[in-house]
Parts: sequence; structure tokens; C-alpha cells
Amino acid sequence: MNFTENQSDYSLVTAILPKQSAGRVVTEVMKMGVPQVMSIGARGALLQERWWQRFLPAISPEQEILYFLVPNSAVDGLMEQIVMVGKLRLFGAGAIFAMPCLELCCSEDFPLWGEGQYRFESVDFDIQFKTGLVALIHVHDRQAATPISRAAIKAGAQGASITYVRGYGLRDRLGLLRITKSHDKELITVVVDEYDRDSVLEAMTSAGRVDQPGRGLVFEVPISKGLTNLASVFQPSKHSASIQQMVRAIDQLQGGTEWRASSLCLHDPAAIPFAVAGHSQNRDLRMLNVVCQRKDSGALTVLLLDMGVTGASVSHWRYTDEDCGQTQGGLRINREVACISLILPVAAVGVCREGLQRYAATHEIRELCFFTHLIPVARTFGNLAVMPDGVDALAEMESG
Amino acid sequence: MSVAKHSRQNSALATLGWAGVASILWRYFQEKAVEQVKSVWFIVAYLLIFQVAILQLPIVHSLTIALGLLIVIAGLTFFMEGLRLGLMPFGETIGAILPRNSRLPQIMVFAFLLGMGATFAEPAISVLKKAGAGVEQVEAPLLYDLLNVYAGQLVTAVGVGVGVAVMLGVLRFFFGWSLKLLILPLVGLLLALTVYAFFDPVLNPVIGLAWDCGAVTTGPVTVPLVLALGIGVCRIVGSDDAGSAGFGIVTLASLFPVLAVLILAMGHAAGGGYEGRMEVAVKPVAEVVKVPLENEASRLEDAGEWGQAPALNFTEEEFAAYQRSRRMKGDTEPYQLYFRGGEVVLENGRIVHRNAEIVLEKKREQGVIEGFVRRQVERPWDSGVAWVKEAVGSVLMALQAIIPLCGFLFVTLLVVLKERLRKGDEIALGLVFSVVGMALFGLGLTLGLTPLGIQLGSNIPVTFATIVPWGMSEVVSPLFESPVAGKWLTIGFAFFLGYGATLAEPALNALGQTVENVTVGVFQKSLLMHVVAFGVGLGIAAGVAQMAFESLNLTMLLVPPYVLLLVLTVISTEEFVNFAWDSAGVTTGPITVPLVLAMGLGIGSTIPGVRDGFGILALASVGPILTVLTVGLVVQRSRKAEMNLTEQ
Repeated sequence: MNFTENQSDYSLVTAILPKQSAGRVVTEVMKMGVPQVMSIGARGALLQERWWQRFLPAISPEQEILYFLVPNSAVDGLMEQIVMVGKLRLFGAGAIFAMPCLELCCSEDFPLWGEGQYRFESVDFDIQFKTGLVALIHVHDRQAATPISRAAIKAGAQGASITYVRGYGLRDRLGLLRITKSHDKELITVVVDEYDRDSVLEAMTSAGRVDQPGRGLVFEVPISKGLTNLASVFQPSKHSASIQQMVRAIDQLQGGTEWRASSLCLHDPAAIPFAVAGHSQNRDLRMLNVVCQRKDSGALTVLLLDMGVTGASVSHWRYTDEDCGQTQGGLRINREVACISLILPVAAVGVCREGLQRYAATHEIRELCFFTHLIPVARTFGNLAVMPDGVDALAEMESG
Repeated sequence: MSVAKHSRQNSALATLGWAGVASILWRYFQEKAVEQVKSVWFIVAYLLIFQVAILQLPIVHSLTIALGLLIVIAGLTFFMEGLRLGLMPFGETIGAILPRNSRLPQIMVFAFLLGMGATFAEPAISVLKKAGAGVEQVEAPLLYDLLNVYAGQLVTAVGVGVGVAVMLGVLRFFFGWSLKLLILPLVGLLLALTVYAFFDPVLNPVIGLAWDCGAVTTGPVTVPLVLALGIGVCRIVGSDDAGSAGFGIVTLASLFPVLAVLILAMGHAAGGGYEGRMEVAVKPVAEVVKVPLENEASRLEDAGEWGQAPALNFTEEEFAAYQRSRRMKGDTEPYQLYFRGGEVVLENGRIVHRNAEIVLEKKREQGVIEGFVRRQVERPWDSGVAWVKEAVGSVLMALQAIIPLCGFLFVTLLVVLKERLRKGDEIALGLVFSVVGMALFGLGLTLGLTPLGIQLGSNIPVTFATIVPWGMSEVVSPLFESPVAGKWLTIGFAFFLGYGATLAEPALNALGQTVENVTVGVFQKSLLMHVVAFGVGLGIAAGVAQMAFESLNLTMLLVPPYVLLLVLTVISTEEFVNFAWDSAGVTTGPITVPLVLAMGLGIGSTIPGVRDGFGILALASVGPILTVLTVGLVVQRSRKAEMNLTEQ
């Protein structure tokens, strides 16, 4: 099993779209030659401001999050196309952003999108993406999403997207006692401007009570460029109505919707893609994402835990590419991939990578890809900078 | 690696110690039990308060009932955990492997066998069999024969119905068929057949059985398993916009058995092959008396003092006709015969009742499950005998419901799909939890919740009629001067009974959880459950209104909702059609059915001319579909408004 060299010129492009337009976007971008799309269902934040709204049918907006692992040279083209097809410049139409990967390494069979392999026609208008954005991600137990996203939105975030993930960690070291703690976790993603970052991070930290044990963690991932137009409040309420009415009023005054693009997308060529403010806590951290087939994810998670990482959350993504099979009825037979995400000190990345590569070689795991993001800030109970005692586990693995 | 894992597990136990382990487990069970208390407290508190505060009657056997309620909560705790750890992951794993590892014909055979197996394992099916003893051969010969002579055929027909349903449901996922297109013709056909059967005197009594069969097949084991299987299949198969994918099998599995049973009955009716037909011939009383003493001794029993007032009275003309012929018109006028008083002596090796009065009493016709429940109602609570027998019975029932089905799935996984089961220990523990939970749940229902519900259900007519309360001997007069006020109170009671009982249904809990998981929390479990419960409450209240105010006709009460239902189904989105119809299939579960039927019987016995509680159950299934679809339309509207706002 051969692995590619470490590459540093890839980005994870994430598009958060309403469910209604996600299907169309996938079809359209695949027509343009995008080789594969990974997606997961999500929901938007729903704020109920009045106590009586708890008794009304509360249905959050449905979203779909699309992930593309693309070479940096293709990021602009892909993002422009998605903005076009998904009409992302409209209010409430969704968000798209690129998170740079520090290092990326994958098995030869992994269908990685090659450098310069796909070209997009240039779009007929100028889209300027915003820099100086950061993604704040909060992993926690189910049912805590509402207070946390409410706090984040009050502190300045535009909208929050919530996905379901499965959490692993301490519970899996307890043998059968692990059943006493549920796997089910929620992952809240909010995208904020850098100048809002501190207040939103504080708000999420206190709303999620991450300073207490067993309350999950919150961390920041830098974004190189992006565009957010998320509608946060779908529930009829004074607040959202007034925002949307204001937007429409300005539309009428300006005689069109062009003003939205110019006022929402700040173009600043001088900005460094991910300028990191000096944060003392847990400074040298990385987020390691391991993408593999879903059936391999269980074993790989156990391997990582055995190597001593503090915890991991696993998202199950639907994987769509051109040559997936079809049923007799003409429906796609999708493949499923899993993304194992963990936060660990930078020095541990090498150990984990080595362990994963060796395991893949001995167990014939053909498709495996891992990439890292810089994590400037991460907050949780306890210390994330624990070095995994991976060496022992590796030795045991080889002797066994 | 396995060595490392093993040593870690050991060290966990070593570091925590037994006390630590116990405290973790204690917290865990505490948390899960509180969850179940939350789902059950409403119905329990409601029943208790209604009985004590409003009806102002004491609770009979309160100790047994309290203990039974605790057992119900313990049982639900284990069962729901068993679903979460064992049954549902198991079903989902297999569902996700199927489309990849096997070909369509293989999958079809698997689905068919699964449906059949689930039917044979379903505990409620044995209720049907037991209830067969309560049906009068003379009254409903075809029904009698279906339940006794052709019981095997009946269960097979239901099994085939469910098998075809599961097969079709899975096939639907592979071809992307709309559930609407399957439901509309099917329901249309069923309604047509029902109307036809309604006007056929031989087939008429079978209608209740047919629809009841549809309701009982979707029980607390089958539903989660089949749901999980569908979710698993749809994880792999399908396009991006199928948020509702994985649902619909439950709906089909509650419609097809109705069709199967109706067809079976029509076949026998047309062929004239049912034996009961000869028995329709009128028999003199003497003969009737002779036969029961030998064969149906249970039916001819000492009624002691006057029991409840007969539901129906013989008229003067009927009495005159009887005096002339000494015969009953057995096929049209159901009646029962018992004796009262007298003394018992041993005479020439025979037991003889001297000077006993033989009483002929007009009898209400009974539905199938109603018959079973009625015998429970009439049986005085004997807390001494029941314990061991009930416990053993519920353990056996739980084993029967879970083990063969999971054995079949396991063999399929190993032999046909040739896959290993990951996390086998967790799933095995989950299955053990399911069995334990189901056994406790069944026991708790028999000891606690069902007697409580039956008590209140039979007492509720006290609001407008003079009755002897359940388990008591003195007569109580109506609570209200005006019967209309009492009847309205009864209808209100019925609404909340349906509402509360539905919230406690385990299968609906599982469905709600699944909907929440599949939609990533867009449709919260609590929302779905409250909407469904509201619908069930409405349906039951409508059914009771129909019974209480005799002017309302059941057909008139059933047809418009069904028509409205079909219209709503046509204009709703696929997603909500799936949720709505599946919830309807799920609502008629082990908590709701006995409570509702007991209430129906209680009310029915005080009002002349009322046949049975069948209408209530049918309406209880229509209600949730209507409410869920309505909520769906409201949501759709607001979404459309949002989209318009965005597009502008």
C-alpha cells in the first residue's frame, strides 16, 4: 500500500446549502467535471423567541453540507460555480468557504482530485470572496444545540448549521460499560468574521459549559476565503421578519440586488489567508481528519483510541461520484465514507499518520486519506495537548 | 491490537473498581428510567386523577397496579435501550449491506421471509388466536371458522400480507416509487372491499377482524426492526433529495394484511367451504343447553347475582315469538345462556344444579380483540394466582417475539451476506435488554396499566348512566343530572386517554427517534409524537362521540375522514406522506389498544344498540394521519413563503 507524499496545497471546500438547492448544485457541478462530492444532512438553527412558540410545530430549515477536497488551484473555480448554481449571493441561500489543509496524504487508490485535472469556465461576473473568516466548531451531546447556537447568533454569528456525529473517546475504554454513554453527538458549525470571533467563542464556551467535564469541546478552524448568506431564523418572528423586510426595502431603494454582493463580500487582496492571532491556550494543535470507507471507520477509530488520542468524532458522509452503481430502478447506489476528526498536538500527527499507514498496509484498507487543519484555539475540559502513547500500541500491533 | 484493547478494558474495571462500575451503571439506568417516566407519567397520572377526583371512585387493587406500573417503567427502560443498542443497529447494518452484497431477487426473498417471520413472532397474533374462543359460531360462522378451523390459514394470510408488504416496501426504495402511488390505489381497493363486505351478511363480521389484523402486525418489535432496515437500505440507495427515505414499510405492512384477510374470507364465502354454515340452522333451546354443558362449559356459568344489566333487552314481540317456537333466531340475534342460583349436588356421578334459573340474555356482538379484552374486564382481579403464570407467559412471549427474528437476521448476515458483525458484544447485550424489557413490559401491562385503564374505561359511563363500577358490587348513579354533559365529559376523557396512551407507545417512540435521526433533528421526536398523539386523541374522541350520541353513524364518521385523508395525501409532500402514514401504523400498540377497547366496551355496554369498539380503533388510525399531514402542509406553506422571500 503506497501513500502519496505530504501535500500542502489542498483545501477542504465546504458548502452549506438549503436542501431544496443542494440536489441541483450536486448535479450541476458534476456535469462540469467535478469528480466527487461528499455530503451530509444538516439542519439550520431555529430560534424560538417567545415561550408560546414551543407549542407550535417547530421545524428547523433543512440543509445539506457538501464537502470537496480540492487542490488550491481549483478552489476559486469550484467556489464560483457553486455560488452561481446555488445562487449563494441571495439572502439566506447558504454559505461556502475553504479551509486550507496544512498537510494531506492519501493512499493511491483514494480518488483524490488531481492538480490541474479539472478546469472551470470563468463565470460572467466577478465574485469576490471574503477573507478574514473563521469557522467555530462545537462538538457536544445531543439536545444542547439550541442554547449554544442561540448564544452564538446573539454574539454575532450569522447562522449555525448542526450535523449529527458519533463521538468516541473515554467511553470506548470502558469495555461494555461504554453503553452507558451515548455515541450521539451534535456538531455546530458557525462561520464568523475574525473581529466577531472572540465574542462568539466566549458565548459558545459559556453556553456549552465546555469548562466542565463531559461537555464536549469548541475549536476554531481558519478559513482562507468564503461567503456566508445563511438565514438563521426561519421561525416567523419579529426579528427575522424585520431583517428580511429591511433587505427587501434596500433592494427597492437600490433598484436591484447587486448591492448585497458588494456589501457582503469584502475583497482584501492584502489579507493573509489565515492570520492567526496569538492565543495562548493549546497553541500547537492540529485537527486531523481521516477519510475512509464507512466500513473501515470502526476499526480505524479503535486504532486511534488505542494509540492514545483523547477522543474522536465520526461523521458519515454520502459519497457521490460518476461511476457509482445503479439499481435496476435507475437510482444511484451510493458509497459511504466516514470522516474521523480529532484534535491533537502537532507532534502527535506524525505518530498517528504512521500508525494509520501501517494499519492500512496490513489490513488492506485501500482508500484512506488524511489531512490536517491548523487549530489556533480549542477549548475543552482537560488538556488536549496530551501526547498519545502511540508507540506502544504500534509495537503491540506489529507483534500481534 | 486486540491484546491492547483487552488490557485496557481490564484496567478500566481495575481502576474503577466494582463500586465505580456500579455507580456508573446506577447513573445510567437512572437517566434512562427517568426518560421512560417522562413518557408514561401523563397517562398514569391522568387515569388516577380522573378516577379519584372526577369520578370519585376508589382504585381497586391499587397495590398490584402500583407495582405493575413500576414494572412497566423498568420494562420500557430496558426495551428502549435494547432497541437503541441491539435491534436497530442490527437492522440498519443488514439494510446497508443488502444492496451491495446481493442481487435484487435475493433481497426480495429476504424481505418476504422477514415479513412472514415478523408476523409469526408478533405476540398480538397469538391474542387473535386466543380470541377465537370468544366468537360465537352461530353469530358469525365465517369469522368463527377463520379463527378456529382455518386459524392456520388466517395467520398465513396475514404473514403473506406482511411479507408482500415488506417486499414491496424494499422494492420501492430500489425503484424510487412514490409511497402515494402505492397507498392511494391500495386504500381505495380496501375501502371498496370493506363496503362490499359491509353489505354481505356473511362477510360483515369479518371486517373488524381484517382491520384489526392490520393493526396488530405492526408491533413494538417489528416496527423498529423494519424501520432500521429501511434506513439502512436508503443510506446506500437513492438520490440526494430523499429525506424521507427508509419509511413506508410500516404503512404497507398494516394495509396488506387487511387485503389478505378480506380476500381469504371472500374465497371461503364464495366457495361455501366454511363449516360453520351448517350450524347456522336454528336450534331448540334444549339442544343448545346440552351442547354447551359438554363442550363449552366456560360459556354456561354461574352468574351468581345479577351481573351488569344486559346490554340489550328482548322486546315483547321477541318474547312472544320465543314462546311460540321455543327457538332463537340464532344467526341474526346473538344471545347467551347462563344459570343463576340454585344448589349443587352430586347425583349418580353427575354434578347437578338444582332449582337454578336458566337465563337467556341478548348479547352484544363482539369484535375479536374486544372479546379478549372483555374477558379481562369480566375477570375479577386475582392477584394471588396470576404472578408466576403471567411472568412466565410474558417471558415466553418476549422470547418468541425477538429470538427467532434475530436468529433469522443473524443467519442471513453470516450465510447469505457473508459479513461479520461489528461490535457483536454490544448488539448481543442489546438483544438481551430487549428480551428482558419486553418481558417486564408485558408483565407490567397485565398487572398495572391495563387493569387501571380497564377499570377507568368501564367506569367512565358513570358520568351519564347508572352502572356497577368495575370490581365493586354497589350501584352508582350518574354523576351529572344531564346525560349530555356527562357524555361530553366522556368525550373529553377519551381525547386525553388517547393522547396520553399514544405518548407512551414504545413503537412510536422508536419511530420518532428514527425520524429525528434521519432528518438531523429537523423534525424533533417530541413534535412528531405530540402531533400523532393529538390525532389519536381526536380520532378516539370522535369514535366515543359516535357511541355516546347514537344519532351519529359510524359509516358517516369514517367515510368523510378517509376521503379527506386521500385528498390530503395527494396534495402533501412525499416526506410527510411517509411520516404520517407510518405513524398511523404504529399508534395501535400494546398500551393504546387495551385501554381504548376497554373504554369502548364500558361505554358500549351502557348504551343499547352499540355493536363494538371497532370504529374507535379505525378512527384512532385516521386521526394521526390527518394531523401529521396538516402540520406538513402548514410547514410546506411557510417554507414556500421563505423561499419566495429569498428568491426576490
